[in-house]
Amino acid sequence: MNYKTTMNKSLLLLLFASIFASACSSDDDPEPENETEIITRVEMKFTNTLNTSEVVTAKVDDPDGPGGNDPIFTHPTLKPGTVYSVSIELFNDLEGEDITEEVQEEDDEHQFFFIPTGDIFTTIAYDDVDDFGRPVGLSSIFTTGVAGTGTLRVVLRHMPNKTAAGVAEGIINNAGGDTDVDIIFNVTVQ
Amino acid sequence: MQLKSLFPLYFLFSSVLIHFSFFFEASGQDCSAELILEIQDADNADPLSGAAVWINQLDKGQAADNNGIVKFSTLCVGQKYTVDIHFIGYEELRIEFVAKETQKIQVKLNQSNIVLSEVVVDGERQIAITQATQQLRGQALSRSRGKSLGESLKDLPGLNSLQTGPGISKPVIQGLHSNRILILNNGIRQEGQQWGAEHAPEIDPFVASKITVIKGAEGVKYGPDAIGGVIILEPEDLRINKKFGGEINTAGMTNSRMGVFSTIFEGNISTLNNFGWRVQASVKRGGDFQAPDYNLMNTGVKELNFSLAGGWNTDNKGLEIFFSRFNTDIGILRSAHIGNLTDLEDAIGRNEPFYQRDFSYEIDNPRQELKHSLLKLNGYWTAPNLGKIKAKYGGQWNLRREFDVRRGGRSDRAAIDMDLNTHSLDLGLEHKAIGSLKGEVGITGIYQQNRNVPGTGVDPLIPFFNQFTTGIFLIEKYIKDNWQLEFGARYDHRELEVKTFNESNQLVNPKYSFDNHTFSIGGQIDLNESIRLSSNLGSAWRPPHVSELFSNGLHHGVAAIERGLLYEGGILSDVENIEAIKAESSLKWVNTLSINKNKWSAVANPYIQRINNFVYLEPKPGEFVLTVRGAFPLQQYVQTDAQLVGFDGTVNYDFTTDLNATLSYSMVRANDLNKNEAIIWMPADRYNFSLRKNFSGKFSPFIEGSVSHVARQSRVSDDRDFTAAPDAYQLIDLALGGSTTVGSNNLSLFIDVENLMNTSYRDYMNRLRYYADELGRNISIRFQYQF
Repeated sequence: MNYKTTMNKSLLLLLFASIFASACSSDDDPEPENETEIITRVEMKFTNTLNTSEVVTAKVDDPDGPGGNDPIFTHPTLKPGTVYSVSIELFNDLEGEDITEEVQEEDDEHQFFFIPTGDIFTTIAYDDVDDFGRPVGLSSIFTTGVAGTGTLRVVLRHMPNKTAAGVAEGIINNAGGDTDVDIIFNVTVQ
Repeated sequence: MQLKSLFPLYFLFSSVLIHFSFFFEASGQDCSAELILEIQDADNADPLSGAAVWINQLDKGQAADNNGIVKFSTLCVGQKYTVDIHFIGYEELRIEFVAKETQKIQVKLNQSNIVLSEVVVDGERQIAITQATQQLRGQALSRSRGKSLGESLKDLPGLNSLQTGPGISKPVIQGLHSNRILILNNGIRQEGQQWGAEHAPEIDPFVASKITVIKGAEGVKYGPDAIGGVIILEPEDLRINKKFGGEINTAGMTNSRMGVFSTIFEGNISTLNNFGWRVQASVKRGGDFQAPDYNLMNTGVKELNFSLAGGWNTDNKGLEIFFSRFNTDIGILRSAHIGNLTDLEDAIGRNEPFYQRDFSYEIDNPRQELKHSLLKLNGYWTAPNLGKIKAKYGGQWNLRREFDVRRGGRSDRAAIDMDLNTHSLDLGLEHKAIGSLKGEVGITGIYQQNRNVPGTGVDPLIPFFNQFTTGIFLIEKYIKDNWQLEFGARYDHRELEVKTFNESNQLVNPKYSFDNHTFSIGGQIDLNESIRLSSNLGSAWRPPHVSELFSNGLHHGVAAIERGLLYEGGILSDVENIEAIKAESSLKWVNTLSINKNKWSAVANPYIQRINNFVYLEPKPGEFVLTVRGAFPLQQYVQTDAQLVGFDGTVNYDFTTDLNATLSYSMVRANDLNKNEAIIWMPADRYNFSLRKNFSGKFSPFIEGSVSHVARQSRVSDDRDFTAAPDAYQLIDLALGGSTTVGSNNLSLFIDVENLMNTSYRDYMNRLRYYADELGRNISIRFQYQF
């Protein structure tokens, strides 16, 4: 009996010891995760089609990513009655990545939408298509109206329904999908 | 609510049932026969108070009183009944008899040599019997086979489920869930990533033959977290006396076209004395669920689970080993993956989810892939002059990978990849009775570590942590003829070490420790032979979980930035400064009044609970975090003092032995005492009325109809949520079934129709209520064969 009791006790001790010995072994420190998918900078270049050396860049820059400090906006000032060729570039500066390439590679799953207020633009037209001949919006043509101020909302949707009514014409209402970029510029036309 | 609106339905059911009764043999017999069972220990004739008696034909049970007596008074003269008598530590007994006007049967139970009842099933024998409890067993459990744990329990009074679409369901006990309740799987504290509202318990309910819910605080017995209650899943006893047996369950459902198949095989080994074994496996496959008007795209589920058990015991000692593995792949409604607040508002504005497809079994992103393994080793030894010494080790390995809809071919990379390991050791002594005093002392240790698997390309939701919790407790019961008292006390200590990164990506390594003591006191008295009153006052505590301390980032499903207690204005504040953060401490008073008189039986559970330092996620209306993706509303974890007051209860009336009606009701009012407003995400009031008719005959068929009404959760003002709470709704369910015996084997068939009227509705406790309706009509057929 005594022998058995000792057996039981030592068994238990062994169990206890082995569990907590294995559990308390030292660990390597974790590494910070590389946030590869975030977009921290959006640049929208307006090139005057009559004078290609005249380039206006609208920019949003959020170097620390979501949260922390608010993004910094560089708002554009454009000329009235002018046709601009517009290109958009996307970057992840946290990881030094060019996200534009990713959107180009998956252009059938992405589309930009441009939503202006006021009379600052007379027309906005897509200038690129995906493999199915549907617009993407990395390149587009903007024509400014008369002098004044207004806003331009730029939205990038991932996996929108590109065949829904109005979507090919740049109307966002039926597009669905989830939003990757949603920014608003204050635009001055003078 | 309009109770009036329920009355026409009541009449509808009554007439349906009456019509049905013509199909079966009409019985004009006398159904007031009385049966008195006197249940005793076969050796010393001690009355077995608390033994459970189950009449299969009535699907009704009762527990023996302190004199070991159980009384039924609505049996039909001349009819044959089978009665199962079950008591922990004793062999289960089945008796068959033909009802006479009055008869008294003396039942003697033999102490079992069954391994499990002595060793494993800690749950039941240690439940403070002064607690309010609820059980799912027998036919009710058979009829829930194939459902997840949360779904199986949600219709019990006082219980709800917190859902993320049809595939993810978390049990809610009297308003509390996640880290505030505890799940005991086969005697081991379930440790998964239960802090997340989208993380359902990684448990296959097929491992259990009985599920018990304790609705009171059980901090003394189970340590931290058991603030709201405990769910106990117990398997059937291992049979060392039975050569071979088992059970086969199959289920098929029209909604989601789900198929479920489960088997259990068990027995002993002829060449090895005192040894029992069991092998169990289940498989489940379902596709897109359907709301009445559309398919819920990408809500399929795949599951493959198994468990193995073996045990050996002699008169005074035993050993057992158990291993289980749970594997699942769950799809999440595609339309619930959104980019920003505008997307959420668009989704709320749509009548139907944006993404739709024809029915498919395909599971795409977003989805969850989970694996949970549990290993248990335990043993006991009865020391003649001391009592029973018990030891139990539990090891759990939980892998959670969540896949999101991502850009640039990253969809095959998990966005969340967490590896949680837990080891626990419990040592206890059930001391020999000292006069009328019985009790137990125990010490426990739990070590837990969370590791984030690198390479997700997304900041982890919760950081690296190591956590060690120890506790010591004492529980004593003083038992007299018609009353008993119990009390307990416990001391716990927890150490938490975290490794995470601050804003400048520097590693910070704070260490915290928490200490707490808890107590409980309870009593039970039989006022007369039909009224029993019990009351329990218990404290419990819960240190804040790392997710509540360190969360900082975007929560996709609700398009909100969530910040933990340690973040102030978006910056990780002084992480060592724990002064500002206190553990939640709770005091819950639960009462149970049960009445059994003639044709009436009723149970009422009123309760009141105070939780100090209650942690919750507070929406900050008007505060937005601006990002390149748009503006996100801010939600901040804060602490307050909370009070929960509630009531749940059931009234049952037997019109005849074969026809009975049940009315149940649950309500809870939860308030933030500092801000004097209702706490969000608390269940709405619920009423359920059901009518059941049993028929005599070879298959003992039954038909049951029920109407439930769920009120609108109108206590939280609309501006504290993204949209107004959904409207009240009514649902009608219908069930048919029967069982028969083939030799010594038992065969059952059940047909259940849920949401008979195919009503479109949304439920407040579903986190996907912003996006889609609840499920439409579902007809399920279940077949069970026990051999």
